[in-house]
Amino acid sequence: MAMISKYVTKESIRRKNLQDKIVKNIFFSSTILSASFIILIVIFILVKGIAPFVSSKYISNVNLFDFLTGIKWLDGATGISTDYGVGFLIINTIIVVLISLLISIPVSILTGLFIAKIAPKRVREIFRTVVELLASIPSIIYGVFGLGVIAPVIMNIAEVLGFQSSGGLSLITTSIVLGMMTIPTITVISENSIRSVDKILEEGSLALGASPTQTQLKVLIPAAKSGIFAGIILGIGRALGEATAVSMVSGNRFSGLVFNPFDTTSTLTSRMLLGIKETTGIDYDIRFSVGLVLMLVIILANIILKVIMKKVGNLDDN
Amino acid sequence: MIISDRKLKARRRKDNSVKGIILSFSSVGLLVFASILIYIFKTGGGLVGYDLLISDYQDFNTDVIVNEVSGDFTYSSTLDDDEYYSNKWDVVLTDTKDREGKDIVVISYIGENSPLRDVSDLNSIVDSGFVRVNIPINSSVDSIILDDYDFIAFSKFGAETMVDIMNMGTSIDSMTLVKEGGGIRGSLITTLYLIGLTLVIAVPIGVFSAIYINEYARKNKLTKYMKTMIDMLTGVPSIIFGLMGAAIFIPFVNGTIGTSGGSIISGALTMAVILLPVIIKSTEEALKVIPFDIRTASLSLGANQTQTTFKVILPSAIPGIMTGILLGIGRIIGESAALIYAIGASIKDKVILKERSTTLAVHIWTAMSGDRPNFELASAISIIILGAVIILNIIAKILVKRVSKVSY
Amino acid sequence: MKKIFILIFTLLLVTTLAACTGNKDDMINVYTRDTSSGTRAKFMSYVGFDAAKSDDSVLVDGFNTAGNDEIINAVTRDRFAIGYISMSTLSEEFKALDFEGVEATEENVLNGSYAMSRNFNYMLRDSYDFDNNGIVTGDEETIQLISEAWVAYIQTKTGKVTISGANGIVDITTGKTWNDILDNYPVCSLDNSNITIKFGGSDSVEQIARALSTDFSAKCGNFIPDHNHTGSSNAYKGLNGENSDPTDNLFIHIGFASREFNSGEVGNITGIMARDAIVVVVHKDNNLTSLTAAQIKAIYEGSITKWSDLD
Repeated sequence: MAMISKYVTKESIRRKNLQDKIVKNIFFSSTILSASFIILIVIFILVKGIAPFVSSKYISNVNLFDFLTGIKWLDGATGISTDYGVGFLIINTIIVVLISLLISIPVSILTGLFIAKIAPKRVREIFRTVVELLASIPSIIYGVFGLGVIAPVIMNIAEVLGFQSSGGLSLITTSIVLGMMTIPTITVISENSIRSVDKILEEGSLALGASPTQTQLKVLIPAAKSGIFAGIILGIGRALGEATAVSMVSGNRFSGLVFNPFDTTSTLTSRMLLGIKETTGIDYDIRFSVGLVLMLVIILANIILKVIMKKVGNLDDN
Repeated sequence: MIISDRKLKARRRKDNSVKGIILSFSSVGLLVFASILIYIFKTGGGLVGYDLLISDYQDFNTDVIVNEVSGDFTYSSTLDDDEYYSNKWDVVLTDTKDREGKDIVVISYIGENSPLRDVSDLNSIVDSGFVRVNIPINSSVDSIILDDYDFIAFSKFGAETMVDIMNMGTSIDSMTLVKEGGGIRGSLITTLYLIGLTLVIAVPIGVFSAIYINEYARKNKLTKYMKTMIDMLTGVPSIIFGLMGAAIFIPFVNGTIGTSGGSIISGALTMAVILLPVIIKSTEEALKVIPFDIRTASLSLGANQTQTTFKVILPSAIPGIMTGILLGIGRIIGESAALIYAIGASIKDKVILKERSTTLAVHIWTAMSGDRPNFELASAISIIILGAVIILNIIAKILVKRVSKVSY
Repeated sequence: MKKIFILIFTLLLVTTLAACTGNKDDMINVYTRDTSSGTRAKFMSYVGFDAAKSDDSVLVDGFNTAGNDEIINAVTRDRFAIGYISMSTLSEEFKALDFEGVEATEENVLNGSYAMSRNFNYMLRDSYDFDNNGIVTGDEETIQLISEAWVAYIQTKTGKVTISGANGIVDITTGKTWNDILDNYPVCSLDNSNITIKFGGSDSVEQIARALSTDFSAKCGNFIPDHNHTGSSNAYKGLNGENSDPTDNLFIHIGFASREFNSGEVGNITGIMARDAIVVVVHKDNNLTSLTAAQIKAIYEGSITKWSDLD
């Protein structure tokens, strides 16, 4: 109490209130700044991304429809080409990501199940740590691994099967690398979802005579469905946006839709990184347009998947 | 319902095989992790060392003139396959490779009486003539010019041919020695600068934002929108942040500080935006744990909100903030795509904040493009990056454990 | 069980798709330089495919654009790749093809029997007034003096030895040594360690340019060399053309072209630095040893698409 009487005067109260106001404003401005970045990103990329189609500062503009549906990307004379197309990039990106999901979804869900329910305590800790460490490995290291280990293996497999491959840089290599990168994401969320399934469901199933394994597969996993699905959506977002590792193992193809797993391919992100050190003018700016398309694809994917998730969820509840 | 023994056994067998499948799928993650570690250690382990971290990236040439003429010598030890002895100059030249895997020729032995013990640096002219120097053992030699350009030995010919040509001449007019580069000192320093600068920008803004949201803001729509805006940053891919850096920060820094093109500063601004959600979230979590009553108690003792925040709340939140910072540092070290756009990819030895340079991760990317992907260097740098990230994660985990042990 | 079936089904589907649309191992994987490359311009004229000098649309479907280094990368790892590069960048890791039966060697270039030869040319800036204040002083002047000293250096025996060491073709027997003319260039006795000299232009010349800058830097005050090689067309542009402003990404002080500068690319100080040749390259294991101009043109335009068609 002696403390208060020493410090409380009209003067000091006013000073303290002024200090409060200033500090509060500083904090508020910081928050506004933080919140505004996402808006800035959208605006700037929108503006720079649309420029090649409409701005008059280029010798000739790119046709938007050709751009979106084009199946090849020709540079032409540097800075003057109008033969830019991302149509094939969009489709190739989707193919690459879908195939990578074929790898990562089963592995992740089962690993999540294993960690949540099957593993003894010690093993569980080890697996959890490994998954966390996998999540924090930078993408460039996955790229080096893909180029150094996976590409040669794929090249050998292709030769044995009688297919041509460009040194192992291919669609399947890219999907494997992306699959490896998304496993940690989906595993962690799957594990959490499975673990948080109501015990009653588990115990009830066991009480009815089902074996633990049957319970896990037929009761727990379906019950954790929405959480797992959310994890998959997150994984898809990461896979769509991955740039460095993909640019190192995809082969950077310039045209055509790629379905053959041993053919080189390219994605929106790899296209953005290709030749980045040497560009100027429209060739540099068009990358923003590709970035714009990438963001639209990611947003669209999120929306579609969330709608599917709701529908499946509703069907079940009936 | 009674189940027969046979049915039980069948079911158990099926169960076990299913369990086997689950186990094998789960070990994929473990397998991937182990393979990555084994690969980068096997490929890059030999290269990692103090001198890799300290050396320049650029080769450094010295031109020396040999002050004595050739003589006649003999060599008593045995020579390995790659070693070739010159009996006129009493030196052994060896074929070997440099840090980037290129073939080079080194001087692996200089005899006691060899003329090459008396050399001077041609590029160092002082009043009394050229400065005498010593040739370090295992110096790489690029070219040797003998007898006034009559004979020229290039390292591209290989050690054996070089020795043959050397033996044809009597005086060495100029010998170009190369201190091989390929070191990552520049990239290491750039990474450290980037971490420092980014944290200086991101931590205050992030912590202040979190404090505002948690302590000051009223629960209205504006606050909710701001929180959503900040959350949305987490879903943006790194390369988009790179585009943002190139579109916003590079021109901004060019305009205000007068740089030209990318710089470490523009990179730091970009990374700061990437780190903001991380720092804000960790700070928020740390603040939420602090019981509400502490604030009331402090205010009732006469402190204003500022004093409460800085002297009571913030200190308790520091472990949580530190966790966010550590995760952020890990993110900076590993980031590649965003920095390729926001800074550029030009490997430098002299690191200047206002100019481009590469971080360790971008150095890997540069080393892997080009005519000969340098797996050894890439793996060596990967070992360093992975080591740093793992250590940071461990420290962060310890911090989290300590924080959760504290009870109010 | 259902999941396993779906998995197997998808795998079968993928394999079938691959089998139907896939390349059996025979298709030629074509690599070319991009349209700003001097190497490409010369190459296309030598094989009689002028239309492809600066136009990508006449090339075979599915071609790849890459720089000199990446083409080397491609033919080293890809058994089905073909490309063309500067002779100065040849190495044992891939195979160089004879052109019209003539092997790509320095002698054959000098005696004229290897047809695809060309000059490496250099050019300096006309203007060193970076801040546009009307006068050239301080760092601007130092950069100008170093650039001019560099031109003298590459004509000395010392410089030419360096060029030769980096696989450029020059006549080492003529000229003075650098030490002979050193006194004419007092700028090289100063400490230039805070000066950056930017080199750019053709990336076929990059190997030689880097060797020269490393060597000359030690002889001229240890200036910092900065190399950004993006194509012959960008040499003139970054020196005296549309990208020559100091704030431009392509701004340089000394530029190289692997072709002749054309009438629109004018500079006061320019000249020939070395001779070089263009070589068609394939993977080490490729069975071919030689190609004719007609065959090369057919490959690049798409009338020959399989390796087996060339036997």
